[in-house]
Formats: sequence, C-alpha cells, structure tokens
Amino acid sequence: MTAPNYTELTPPRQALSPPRVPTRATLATPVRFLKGIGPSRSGCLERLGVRTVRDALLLTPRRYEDRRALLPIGRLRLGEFQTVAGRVKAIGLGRTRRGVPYCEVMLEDGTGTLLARWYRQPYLTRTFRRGQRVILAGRVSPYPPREMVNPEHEIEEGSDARYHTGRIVPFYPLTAGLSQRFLRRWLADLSREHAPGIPDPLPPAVQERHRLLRLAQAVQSLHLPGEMTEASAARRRLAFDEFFLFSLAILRQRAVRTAEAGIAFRVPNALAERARALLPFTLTPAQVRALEAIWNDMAQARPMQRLLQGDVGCGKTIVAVLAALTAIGSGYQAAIMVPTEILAAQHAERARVLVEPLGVPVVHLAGGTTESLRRQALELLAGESPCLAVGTHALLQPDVVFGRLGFVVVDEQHRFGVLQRAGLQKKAVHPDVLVMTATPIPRSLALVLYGDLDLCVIDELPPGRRPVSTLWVEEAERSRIQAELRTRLARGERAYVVCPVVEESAAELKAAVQTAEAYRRGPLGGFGVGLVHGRLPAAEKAAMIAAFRGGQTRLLVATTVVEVGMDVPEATAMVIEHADRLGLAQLHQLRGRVGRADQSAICFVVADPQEITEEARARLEALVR
Amino acid sequence: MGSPTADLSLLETARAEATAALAEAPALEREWAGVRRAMEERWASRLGLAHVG
Repeated sequence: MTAPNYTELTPPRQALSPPRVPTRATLATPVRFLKGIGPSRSGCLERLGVRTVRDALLLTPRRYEDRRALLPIGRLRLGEFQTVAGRVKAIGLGRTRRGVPYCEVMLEDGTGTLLARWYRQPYLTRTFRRGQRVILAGRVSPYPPREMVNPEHEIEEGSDARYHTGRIVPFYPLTAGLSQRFLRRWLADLSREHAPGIPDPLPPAVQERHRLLRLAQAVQSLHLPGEMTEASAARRRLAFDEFFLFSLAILRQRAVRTAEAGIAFRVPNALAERARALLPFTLTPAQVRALEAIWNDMAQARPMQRLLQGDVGCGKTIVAVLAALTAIGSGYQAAIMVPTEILAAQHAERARVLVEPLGVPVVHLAGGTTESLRRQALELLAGESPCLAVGTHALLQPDVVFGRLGFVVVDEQHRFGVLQRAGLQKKAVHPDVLVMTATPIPRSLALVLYGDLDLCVIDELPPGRRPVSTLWVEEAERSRIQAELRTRLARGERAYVVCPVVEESAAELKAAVQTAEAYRRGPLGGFGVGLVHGRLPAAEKAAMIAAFRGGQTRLLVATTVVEVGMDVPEATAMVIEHADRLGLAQLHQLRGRVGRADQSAICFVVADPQEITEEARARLEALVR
Repeated sequence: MGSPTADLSLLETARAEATAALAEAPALEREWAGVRRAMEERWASRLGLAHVG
C-alpha cells in the first residue's frame, strides 16, 4: 500500500436549507407541491417510492444511532461496531498495491486518534476539510491502531445540528441528490405536522391482541423516537400493516382464482408417460412427488397456480417438461419462459431430444431468432396444433399469438417481473401456471410469501451429486486457484471464471474481456479460453457455449449471463471475481453451475476482506459456511 | 417495511389475522372498511396481477 498524499482541501459547498412544510397539505398531497420540494427533489424522492405525504411518513429508516452520548475515541472498543465523533486532523489520498484508490482521514478528539479509510471513493477527499467535526459509524479494527474501513460518515455543521445529534438519529435509504441530513430534518418536521391526524384503519381489537402501537404514534416514533424500543415498536406496527394488507390482497385473489373455470387436462396422460419411459434416468422420489402434485392440479377444472421450489440441479426442468407434455397430450400448447437466451437455447435443445421423437414440435423463440425462423414459429403457435414453445421474454411480444395455450411454465421466477409473468399468462384463457424457483427459502416463508400459489418442493438431488466446496480466497492466494484449475482442466474438466457486471456496459465488459485475454496469454491458455457476455451476438454466444460444452475450450470467462441454467456436467470449478459485488441469491445461482455430475466440484469466491463492506462480508461468510 | 425473513413470525401472525378477517367479513365490510380502503390503495394496481405469483 502506498502512503497517502495528505493535503489541505477546500471546504465543501453548503447544503441547501431544508424546506418548511405548508400547513394545508394532506396525506394525499404529492410531495412536489410542498414548499421547498421542487421537481428535482420530488424526482429524487420518487426514486425512493415517495410520491405523497403519506409515502414520506412511511419511509422507514434503515437503522438508528443513539447519539445522545457518543463515545470518545480513546474509549472505542477494538473489533466492535461503534459510533464516534472527532475533528478532522488530516486528509489523504492513497492507492493500494493493486492500484485501488482510497481516501484516508485522521480524526482526533483529545482522547486519541482514529484512522478512517474509504476504498474506491477517492472523491471523498473533497468532502472533508481540516478542523471539521465528523461522526463516523463502523467496525473498529480488531487490533491497534484504531481504524475503520468504509465507515458511514456525517459532517456535523450548520444550525440544524439538533436534528442530527443529542437524540436517537434515524438513517434513511438514500439516492443521488438527497442527503441524510435533508431527509432527517424534513421527515422530522413532516411527522410532527401530519402524524397526529393520520387515520388508523386497523380495528382496535387487532391492535390490542398483538400489542401494536396506534398508527399515529408509530409514525411519529419512526422519525422521532425517544428510545430505541420506541423505534422498534413503530417499525413492528408498520411491518404488521404491510404484511396484513399484503396477505389480505393475495388471499382475496386466491378466492377469485379458485372460482374461475380452468382446463381439466387428461391425467394420467399417455404422451407424458411415454416421455417418462424414454428418460435415461429414473426420477427421484422428490421429483415424483412434485409431479404427482402437479398432475393432481392439472386434472382439476380450475386453473393451477403452483410454485415448484428446488435447489439448483435437483431436476425441476424435467418435471416441468413432463407436465407440459401432459397439456400437449391433451391437445393444448405449452410454453416455457426463461430469463436468458442461453437457458432458452439449452432448454429447447434438450426438449427437442426428448419430445420431437414423440411427434411434438418444439418452437424456440429468443431475441436472436432469425426473421424467417421466427415467422415459421409464429405461424405454428397461432394455429391450434399442440406444440412446446420455449423462449425468453421474446414470448411476450405482441405478435406472438397462441392458438391454444393451456399450460405456462415460468422458470427462475425471481428474474421476471410480475408484469412479464402476467403478460404470458394473458395469452391464454385461465391456463395452468407453474412457477419455478431455486431461491432457497424456508417452506414456511414460501407459503406466506407466495400465499396465492400452492407449493411443492423437490428436496433431494439426483443420486451421486456432491455438495460444492466453496472457498473464500484473497487476491494473494491466486496461485492456489491457478493450481486447482490446472489440475482439473488437465483431467478434461471445465471451469468458469465469472466477472460480475451490473449493466453489461462497455466499461464493465472491458474487465471480462481483459480477464479472458489474461487467461489466454497465461499458463492455462493452452486449454482453450472462451468468453461470453450479454452483448455478444446470439450466434457467437451459442458458438462459445458449444465449444465449452464440447471441450474445445475448457475455461469459460463469463459475466453473470451464466447465472441461470447453464448445464455442462463436466464443469467442476468456478472462480467468482469480486464476489463482494454480488447478492447471495446470485452467488448461490452461479455456484449451481458446477457440480452437476458425480465429480467433486469447487467454487472460489475472490474478495479482499480489507476492502469490502460489512454486508458483503456477511454474504460471503454465509456462502462458504 | 418488514423483512420476510427477520420478521417471519410477525408475517405469520398478520397472515392468520388476515385469514380470520376474511372469514368474518369476506367483503371486508363494517369495521374492516378502513382496512379494505387501505388494501386497495396499497395494492389496487397489482390486484389483477396477484394470481401470477
């Protein structure tokens, strides 16, 4: 790590004074009409879901800090999350050996000094100036000298300090253009003005039964708690309301659905049974149980709405295909909607092998489908002949018309929005719908979250599958990764190297391209190195994946486009670069791409513990546990 | 507002209360009218979509 370059910096611009709230506003008044909230601020607030005064009052703080008595620096306890105030003694800009820029600030308060460091945020050097009083909240290093990495910070200045210190202070979710200090003051004033008059829809008996605060008191305590217990009681009341209203909505919807007329498919079904007999493996008992539950629903003359949950690699897709064949064998069309083109191509290819010998045409519709193939596909779908359609959101295009759609499968449900799922469902009259997810949520939680869906779970992996060993490694341990990859690639196995990107922008993709180049030039280059990302033309992407599947390239550098559904049984190793940038569900999905046969598999998550947030650390610890 | 994982027992309590409310007043009438309005305000635009999951 290079020494930071300490400089004296110019003072930051003064924040605009927060607005006063007009007295005649009601709960339904759009915030843009409030004094001091112009189009710019109302746009920012809208990004937080705040459009009206009511929305603003219900904006929930992410956390609170008790600033009635801040700790002096000299009394900070090592290794603990604490809040501290001090004056800025020095500010510096430095770089790690890997070239990561960081801002460093030395704080003092007469009892000691504290060093704070923010990685990848060099602009912060322009935020602080010497002599400023600053409040920091973060974990103190476990060993002396006292340091905090990436702490939350707040500069204490101005006449409105009473909103920000000497009380229990809320911290709201932020978006560009809104400061914590502005929201804190604005919402404190707004809740004083409006909370007492807020109507409470919940009958008093329910409130008493569950010892809930009155809504007016909850809203006031949310923004201006006198004690931490008041803040949590407020949050509990508002969370109850949210869950209660959501439960009412989906329970009512379920009642409506069960009254609708659906299709009673032929069960048992000769076509599905013939397909099952042709499978080169036997379904696991868990797959059989799920299939029987689905068939039982399909035989009823009301629309099925079922969630099929199961870990990555447990065999949900074959269950869905057999269910789709039940619809097809009853004279209907079936559609499987998946979130990525890679997955659509893979499902279509496998479905063809199984169902075309049975005389069932498979239609593959994806963004990259050529015009002539697409025209043929649309003609087939618009007719009434039974067939299986597999595709991405391309299935939702207005010109995709189904003549006799009776069964819909939505794969990897969390990747589609509610509107997209509804879009496919609307292409038929009350079809049976099967939603599939690999997100590992407990059964009790799934029953509540998907209260309008019946749930079945595939809770076992096919025989021979072994759990994937997951190791968290630092940059310094890269040679260990290289050795493991070399051993596995030499045995003919395959490996993924995943470079996380958020938007697949040109700048972000550069990292994936550079990584692929580095591997090609490096000692593993002889095994063949491929590259796939979201911006690659469909044909090129398909060729890359085919080469990886066929073993012409044994190492595939990829963005998170491989997150869902890539099924290459020979893939036994994965390296996830900058794993701290990904969410737990995404990491779980990615890891599911390896260990899909009976060989041992390994997943390396690469992240420097010194440079990641507390949340990222918790995610990675959960993954490797 | 609430976290479905951290607040699971509250979520289950709320769901049980919702089931009981609908059993008592399927159209959410009488003392449940305020709740119905609040539910429609919060979920109206999504009610038509709820049964797709």
